Amino acid sequence: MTQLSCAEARALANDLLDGGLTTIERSDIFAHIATCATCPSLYRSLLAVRAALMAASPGSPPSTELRRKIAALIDRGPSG
Amino acid sequence: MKFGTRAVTDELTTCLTERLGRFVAIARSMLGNEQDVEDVVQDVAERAIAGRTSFRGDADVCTWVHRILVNRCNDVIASRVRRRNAVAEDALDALWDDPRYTVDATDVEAAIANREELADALASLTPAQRSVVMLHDAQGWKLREIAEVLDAPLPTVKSHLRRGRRALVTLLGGASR
Repeated sequence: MTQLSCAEARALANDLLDGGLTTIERSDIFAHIATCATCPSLYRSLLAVRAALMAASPGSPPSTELRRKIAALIDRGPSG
Repeated sequence: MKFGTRAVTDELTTCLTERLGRFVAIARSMLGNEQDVEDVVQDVAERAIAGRTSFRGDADVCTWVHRILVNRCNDVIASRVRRRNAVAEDALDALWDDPRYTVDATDVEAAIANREELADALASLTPAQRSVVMLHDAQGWKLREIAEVLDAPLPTVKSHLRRGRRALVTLLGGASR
């Protein structure tokens, strides 16, 4: 197991969010987080930010009016 | 139809028709302001149709349209009044490399719950950070797809994602206020 510095752990935390770490790297970062005074809150905040962005509602589909306008633009071409 | 070589025209028509919902979703997530969204998407369609004769073929047509959309959204955001100062990238790196630096996660979570705070923080990212963070985390794109749309190397895209997420935490955590 490698003892990570805070800077190293925080750099890896970004990849951890995306599931891009090896098992060993995951062990290293969680070992660091378990004993560090400052990194856990940063990691929890990164998770919260990503979760908020992922949860953003896709919202309503394009309006009929927009579909009509785009169809007209396509039909008219660049000279219109 | 009057415009363009047939293949490019057909691709553009298919793209604008079939991906319209995706364009609206991207614009909505980046702009966070419902009333701008359809105007921006319509403007992008107009620009793509008008500019298709200068299309260089260095990406596929739909990638090129996505690029126009992302750039247009960033232009609209840049034209708005900012309520919060951006964090310079070198200052952000120095902050996150400092072992003493942290934020209170409950402050970040409370700020996130306030949609306006989150929208302000997103508006304070650099255009590149915002594009990557929104396409990846909100729209679920792969980094490789984003690299293609932004015409940027993969490591650069990864760096924008890392810094964008960090900047959001720093801004929402209040350390730079």
